[in-house]
Amino acid sequence: MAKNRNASQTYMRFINLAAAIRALPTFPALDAMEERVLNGLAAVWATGVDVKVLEAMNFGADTSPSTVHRRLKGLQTKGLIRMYSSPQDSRIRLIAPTDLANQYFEQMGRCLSLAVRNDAR
Amino acid sequence: MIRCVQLLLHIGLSAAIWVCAYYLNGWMFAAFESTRTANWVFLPAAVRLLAVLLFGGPGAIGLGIGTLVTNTPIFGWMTMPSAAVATLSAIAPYIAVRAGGALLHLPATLHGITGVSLLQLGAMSAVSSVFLHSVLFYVLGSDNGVRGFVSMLVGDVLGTLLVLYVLRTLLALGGRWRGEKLGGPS
Repeated sequence: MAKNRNASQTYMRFINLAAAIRALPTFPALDAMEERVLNGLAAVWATGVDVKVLEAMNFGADTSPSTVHRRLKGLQTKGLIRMYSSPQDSRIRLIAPTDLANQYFEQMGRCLSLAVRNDAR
Repeated sequence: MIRCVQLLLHIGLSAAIWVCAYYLNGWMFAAFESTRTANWVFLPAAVRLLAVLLFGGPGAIGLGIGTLVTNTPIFGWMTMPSAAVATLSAIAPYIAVRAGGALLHLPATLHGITGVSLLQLGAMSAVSSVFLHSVLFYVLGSDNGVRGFVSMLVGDVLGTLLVLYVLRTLLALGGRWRGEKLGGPS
């Protein structure tokens, strides 16, 4: 019984370690507000429309524009979005996703598919 | 009898993987060698962490034996300095993982270990190994000063991160391949 417990304990350590390795962070950690802003941006990008910084600042009815703007700066620092001047009007600043953001959405999509698949089983 | 075989297997595996990782590191990162005993990228640091996490005490013993083998060109076979370095190579990660595990409230089965706590344990293992090795090298007169300390620390941290993230990629690719094989969404 003792030898079986040792072997199973090693196996459990292996399983838990493998899970921890899979869960190693690959993206910059986002707080709840940043995640909300990013998801809001993603919803608009998905329609093929450019997002203006001023529009993004008014995304949340319950959040002040300055708070949203701070979060946009945070997302820019973390390399998830880039802000650039509109080619048509240099006074207007637009927001675009970076490759990192696209990878993030892809990974979220994969996690969601996996969760749905496991749920269906 | 089976317990004995299992112990020997854990010790042997840890020693073998340490030796392989050491020579692989020497081959891949020869250009990053800082001193005789330090490299700016040190993959075997991850082996220290994983061997102790997986196998506990026997893993640490395996690390010590492996280090005796890899130390031979530097300190000679079974000399006092070689034995001292080998002992530290075994003890340092063992103490770090045990202490870190207690701080993070991890049980013996590592249930609940997260990616972040794995990185924390890696950092603790690297710091304890580098600190103790630096003290020993100073006592032995092989001290390489601040440069040696810094390059050892950077090497252990980078080496650990490199190995962990390569393993992460391999596990993700394996999972994706398995998903595609079963016909599910990847």
